[in-house]
Amino acid sequence: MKLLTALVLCAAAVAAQDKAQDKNQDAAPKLGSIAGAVTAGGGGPPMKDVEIYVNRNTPQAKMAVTDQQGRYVIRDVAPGQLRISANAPDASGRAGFGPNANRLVTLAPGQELTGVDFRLVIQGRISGKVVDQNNEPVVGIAVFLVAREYSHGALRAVFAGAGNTDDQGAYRLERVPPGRAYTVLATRARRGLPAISDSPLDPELRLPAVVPTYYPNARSIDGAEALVLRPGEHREGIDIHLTRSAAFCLDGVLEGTSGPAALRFNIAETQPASGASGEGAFYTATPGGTSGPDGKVRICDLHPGEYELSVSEFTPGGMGGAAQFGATIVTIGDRDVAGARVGLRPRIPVSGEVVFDGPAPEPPLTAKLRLSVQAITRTERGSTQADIPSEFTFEGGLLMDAYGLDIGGVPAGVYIKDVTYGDRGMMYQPLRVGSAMGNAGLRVILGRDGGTIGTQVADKDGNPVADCTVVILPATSPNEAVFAAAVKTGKTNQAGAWSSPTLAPGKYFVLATSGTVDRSPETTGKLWKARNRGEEVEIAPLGKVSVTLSPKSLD
Amino acid sequence: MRYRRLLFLTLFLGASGVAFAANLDGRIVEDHTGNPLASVEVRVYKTGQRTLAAHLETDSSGRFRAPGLGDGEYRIEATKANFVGATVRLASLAGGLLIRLVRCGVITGQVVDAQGQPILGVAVYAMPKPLNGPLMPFSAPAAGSFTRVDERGQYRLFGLPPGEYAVVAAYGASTSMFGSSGGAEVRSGIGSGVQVYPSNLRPQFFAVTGGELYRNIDFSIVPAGLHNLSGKVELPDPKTRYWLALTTADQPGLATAVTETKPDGSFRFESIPAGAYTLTASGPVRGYGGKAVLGPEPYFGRSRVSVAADLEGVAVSVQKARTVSFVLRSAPGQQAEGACPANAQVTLTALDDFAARIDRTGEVNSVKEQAIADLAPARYQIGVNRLGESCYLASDTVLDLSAGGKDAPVPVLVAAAGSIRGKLTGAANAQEFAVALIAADAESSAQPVQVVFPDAGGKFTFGGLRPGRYRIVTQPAGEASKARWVTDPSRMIEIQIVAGAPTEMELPAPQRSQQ
Repeated sequence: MKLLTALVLCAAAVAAQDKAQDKNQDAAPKLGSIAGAVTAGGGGPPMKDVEIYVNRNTPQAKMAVTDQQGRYVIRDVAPGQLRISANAPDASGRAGFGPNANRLVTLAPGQELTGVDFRLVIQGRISGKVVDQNNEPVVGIAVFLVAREYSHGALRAVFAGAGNTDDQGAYRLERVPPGRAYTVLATRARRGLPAISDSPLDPELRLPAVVPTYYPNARSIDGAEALVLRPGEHREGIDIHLTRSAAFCLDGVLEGTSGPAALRFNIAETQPASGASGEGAFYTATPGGTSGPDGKVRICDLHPGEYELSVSEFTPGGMGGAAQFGATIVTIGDRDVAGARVGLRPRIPVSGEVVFDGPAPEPPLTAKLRLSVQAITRTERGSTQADIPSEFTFEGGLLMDAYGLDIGGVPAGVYIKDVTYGDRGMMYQPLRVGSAMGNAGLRVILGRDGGTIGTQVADKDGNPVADCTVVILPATSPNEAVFAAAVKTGKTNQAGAWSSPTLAPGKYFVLATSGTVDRSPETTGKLWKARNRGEEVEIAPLGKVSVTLSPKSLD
Repeated sequence: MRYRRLLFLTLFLGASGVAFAANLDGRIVEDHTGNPLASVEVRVYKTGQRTLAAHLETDSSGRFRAPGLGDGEYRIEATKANFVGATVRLASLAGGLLIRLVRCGVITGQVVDAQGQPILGVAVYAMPKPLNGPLMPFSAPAAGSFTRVDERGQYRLFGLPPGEYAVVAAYGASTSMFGSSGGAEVRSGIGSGVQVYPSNLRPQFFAVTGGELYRNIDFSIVPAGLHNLSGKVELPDPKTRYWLALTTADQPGLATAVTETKPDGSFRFESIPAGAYTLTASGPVRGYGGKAVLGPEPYFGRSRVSVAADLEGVAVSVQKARTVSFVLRSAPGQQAEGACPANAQVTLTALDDFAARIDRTGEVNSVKEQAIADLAPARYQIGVNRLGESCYLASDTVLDLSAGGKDAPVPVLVAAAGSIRGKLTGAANAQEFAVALIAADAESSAQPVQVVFPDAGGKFTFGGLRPGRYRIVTQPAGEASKARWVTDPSRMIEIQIVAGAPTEMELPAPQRSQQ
């Protein structure tokens, strides 16, 4: 009897322990796994030795490395929304220094998620030599990668990469994105300028000026030969014959707030310019110096062309941008230029309001708009936040310059209908601070009658296509620059789905592509022609449209 | 850049027989071949005129011309990348001017492991042959005298002016690697170290007299035994970072390995060769730019450590940086009123690699002692700036703080420039010859190559010379001559120039067979 009792008690104890264990296991999330493959973009081969991370740089990070077939599996992964990043070795084999990409996926408890694939863009390189009129190698010259792209309402030439010629006049430009047209420009490297140049007074006795020269020997980007690299390609022999011209001087006076003063000055050709390029930005230092207390400058060694002469003053000990700034455009023709004057302008107060086109919603929205401005060719920037609707001010004002305006935090169901500055529409245009008449400020007009487009991308077998680019094109546009700015893009999730933000009512064309979409004139032209191959949709006020797409080439 | 260093050439126009003219024209050739040099930048200064009289470039024949400049005294500067520049002073304009530019040397090679595979991240240096003491990198390396290997392990050193150079490779956790990225990848089986070509015990020196290209100067890194060294720095303030460096006695200017402390002060060197080292510590580190950038009021440590096996528990103590006073003084035997100013700037260039920026500068004068603070327990080369054109540091002086500070002010001795008063002997017509003077220490001389033409009596003079070691040689002169200004060092006579007093000498003219 005692034995039976003991046995029963033991059994009960074991059962209780099992139940407790089950309860613990139920509380702990069921771990899953993530698997996929990495290939080189553009239909390239599998990539081995690529490091794949889950939630890198967190305590829960996990890692795997692709095998010879480019495949990987990461096991024992906790469920949830995860950031998966792929980091390939560079050309010299250094782990993690090569191309990379990342995606967000959602892993269900215990799920074995497959097909988390990456197509890594293998960047290329361009190399060559720069020689002068005597076929001598030009040492220490700056060589830039220059892109053309639509931004802020115009087609601009922007720097996208840089290098220098070595002692043999050879240069190399690394990390050139494939599939996009670039030109290569050789020009004098940034240098410090004296306030008063010692260049000879007689132009006939001056050293010829270096004219920024595009490959192979063009003085303007219009005559340049564009290069489009394949993934991983090394394009060699891109030799540039540097052009020279007569050299001219510019005499001028820099003025502070109380008259001529010792001020920092810079001078640079207006194109190409520093600023936003592709997905980032590229800034270069421009030649410059500091004038004497009389504000006088004599800047020489200038080839014929258009320049921006700028002057700036910084707050002593300050870490921020210029306190005051001014700029003027100077054109050099076939002789010296005298009498140029450029003065400092103080920061200009910029304020505005966010309003609805029509009545505001009830209850009021709690979201805040984030407004940020970035000077198009300089690093000056500003930001502020605003309730919807409300007034706002950029604290400290802005320098008198041209800016790109970015508005974030637009809540669902709302879209930006228009932006005005000084009662002049500037949607897709630069914000030219100081150009508003009177007290008229910035006005952001929001619409509440918009709709959305939901897309589902599948391949020819009906399988969802993840990480595919969906492009929404306006049906009409006054010009290519506005068209490029109005294009909206997004990437499908692991279920092949993507939903647009709220858009204005109207007609659109929607298509999906695995290619790269950028704002270059070449891609913009392809998108314009591809409209008719996309799905035409019309968003009614407060409407929601769903469309199924299959990936198409833009070519 | 190195090519900006000047070749000082004094032309005695009457003696050389060139015609006076209001036009300037000339030709520029490569010294060791006589080939014309195109695209040489020529700056023409006229005495008393602020702007340039002319700014030209040689054509494909090496010729330049500036008509209608007018009479006056001129200075002509010729520069071209990869060449030592030249300066010509003219009492009046001359036609038919010939200027020779010395082409800098180039050394190329590759750094590989025992299997012949390239080793990445290696820094390669050209180091000038020292007068005495160990090899040292250039205190202010010009472009080309230092480089990193490319993805194939290949390197190219260029722009080397006349002189003799060793080639040194620093690999692994070198100062170069650490200082440029705040860390370094130490390859297993290779570790960290410094290797001189072809061996640390017997370096080979590559002579550059003009245009030499040395190829295949390859390194094969095969370390014998590698060990780890770990320990702790007694931090004066918690959670501050310190950089530690290991240097050897024969390479004090280039650290074998560099590492950084963890927040608790612990550190670890991985895979370092066996040997006797000086272990230095510098901090607090607040950033890096080539080397560690230290915060204000730094601390330093210095000790000896011998590595024959893995070593743990090495304790490093640090002390506050030192302060030393300096005063400007005339060297003994100098005249009280001379060419030397009462104020100057003293530079202290560290001869030991602490992997940190420990060089210092300060003002110095002859009236009152001036203190320079934040000095490390290192050996410093004393230098002086702003002495003008006819005053120099009297002698090479090393301030040794490795064993302790200096209580008494350190005198910085300056003296009037040296000079040579010479006579050419054994020449039927002395005016057919040129005398070239080459500074043996290429780094310290602002004028590495100087050329003068003897007068009818064979007398010649060099003035404004920095005291030190030189080589002198005589060559036939004139446009038609193919003789080089810079020749094989073995054919040149070595002399020591002292400060102040002129050096008298007789120089034999070369015989025909030697020309």
